[in-house]
Amino acid sequence: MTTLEKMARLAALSRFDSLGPPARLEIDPAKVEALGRGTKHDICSSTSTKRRVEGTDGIGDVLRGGLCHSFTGGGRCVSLFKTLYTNACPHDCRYCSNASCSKKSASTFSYSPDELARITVGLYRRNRIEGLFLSSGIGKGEQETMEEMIETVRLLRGPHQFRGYVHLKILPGVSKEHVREAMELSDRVSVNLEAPSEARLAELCPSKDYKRDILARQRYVRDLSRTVDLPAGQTTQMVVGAAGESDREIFDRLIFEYEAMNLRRVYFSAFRPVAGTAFEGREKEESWREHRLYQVDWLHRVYKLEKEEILSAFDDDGFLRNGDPKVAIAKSFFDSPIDPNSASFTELIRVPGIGPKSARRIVIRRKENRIERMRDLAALGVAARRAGPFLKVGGRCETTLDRWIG
Amino acid sequence: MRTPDDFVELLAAHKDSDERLIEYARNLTPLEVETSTDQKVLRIRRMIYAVQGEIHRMRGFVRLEPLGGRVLYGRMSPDHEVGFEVADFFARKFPGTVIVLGDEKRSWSSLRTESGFLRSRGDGVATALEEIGRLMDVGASEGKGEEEDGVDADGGVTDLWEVHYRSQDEPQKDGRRPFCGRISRRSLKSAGMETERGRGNKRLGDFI
Repeated sequence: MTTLEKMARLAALSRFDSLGPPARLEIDPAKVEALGRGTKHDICSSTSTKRRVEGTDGIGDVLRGGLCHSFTGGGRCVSLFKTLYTNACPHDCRYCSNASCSKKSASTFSYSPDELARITVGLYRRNRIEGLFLSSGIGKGEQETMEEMIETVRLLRGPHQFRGYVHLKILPGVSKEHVREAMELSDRVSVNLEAPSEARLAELCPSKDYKRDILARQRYVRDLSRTVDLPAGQTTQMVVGAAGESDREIFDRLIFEYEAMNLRRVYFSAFRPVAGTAFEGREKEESWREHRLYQVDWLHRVYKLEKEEILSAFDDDGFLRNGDPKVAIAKSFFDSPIDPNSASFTELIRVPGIGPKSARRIVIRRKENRIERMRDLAALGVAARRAGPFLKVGGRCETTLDRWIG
Repeated sequence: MRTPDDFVELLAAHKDSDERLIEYARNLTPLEVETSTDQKVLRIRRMIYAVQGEIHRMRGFVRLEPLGGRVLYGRMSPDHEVGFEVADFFARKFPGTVIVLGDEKRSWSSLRTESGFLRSRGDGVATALEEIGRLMDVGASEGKGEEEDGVDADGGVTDLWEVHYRSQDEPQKDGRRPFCGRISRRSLKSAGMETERGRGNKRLGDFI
């Protein structure tokens, strides 16, 4: 018997049928488009999770490092079926095309839990996606809509035996029991802050209560995660540049979210005016601002730099300049170039062009051989051109214009 | 990217690897591979990362189609010998389903069983599908090809995906990275990503 014959026989005998009965996904394309477009500005598309899938009685798997399946023109990863459950919403978020105060260009649509579960599994089987990202407008009411969103994931995890990645949005104002159920079924949950403070949110969305609707739900997730496993953690997102907030305000909120709410990630979305919304006449925010905030977030979260140190990258008005904040921090941190053979790990990671991984490699490498050439550093993963002005290698250091002026 | 413990196997999968290089690599530890500045070890490291990168890309970019009720197949033309790594990944995702990947000349089939993976190498995806299709029809009691039920094999998934994909695009966003900036043209082609390659352009077939 050939291996293919064995495969055919074993597949036919297999208890679990990954493909299930043939089915056609007859969904109104206008609905898919409108509800998909509603999540376009939700940035989180990570599929990285600590969960492990065991056994052969379900479809799907997850990866610790996540997986991207496609990218849009703007460079965003498309790895999840990212959609709203419904685009009906009584809230008056002034930047949102689905808000009650917006002139509606699209009809109001809703999925049913069964439709959404079938679409997710259908796309997953074709390897188009890693899982589901489900957000929603409030629809008939936050409790009812949240219940239907949870029912969608129940169908996926139960009858469809889906073991792939799921990210569920927690709607503002939902009950603690709904939060618990959402956490039990998902890899990741998130509550969008939208703004760094109560006053800023009042400008963006007067009908939402910052403390009661948002922060209280984040606390629910934080407290419940002591007993309920949430493998990809809790995240949030803020709109950047819609309410006139400074980068410093956003940064202070970011620190609070990581320290007090135990969040895994904070995402940023640069404001883009949408036609028909109350904010359609406002200027769009530059993409670089979003990018610089992510760099600051990285320095805090991955490089573990102190808050006070990072603040040296902000100007007097509390804004980041359009330059690498790590360079600004390094300029204030280092008085003179450092020798990679004697510098500590914490000094090394403050050098632009050296990250935690290359710093670790340097520390290991120098135990056996001194580093005497920039070429050796480049071989260890250092971005030599960026790091050069801050390093003294083989007794030599680069001369910079700053040093002549200084 | 960390150097994994099984780096020698990854090195052996590289299209430019040879016995002498593999033998040399056997005397290295993962830490040495990662922290050495020796040119030969650097080359080994780059080769390992190239293979790891291709496995990762193919896992994300290869699209699957069903054939009957127990087979998923996809087009894949990898540069390195990563066929079974990718086929096993899908077999793990879809237990009880035979995964067939490949192109005109090569194919890799995998099935996850209770005890591990069953694998088979072939001379092209069409040949492998023909054979497995014949065997499944004979051997499988269910015999429920999707076409037999009057439902097309795609089930409307591609159309739905195209609508969703375009709903996520944001043309007015400053495109610091142009389209495909993170997916090489080679990957798009080798994984047969038609939607992403065409990006909505009309094709000759649309007018005929």
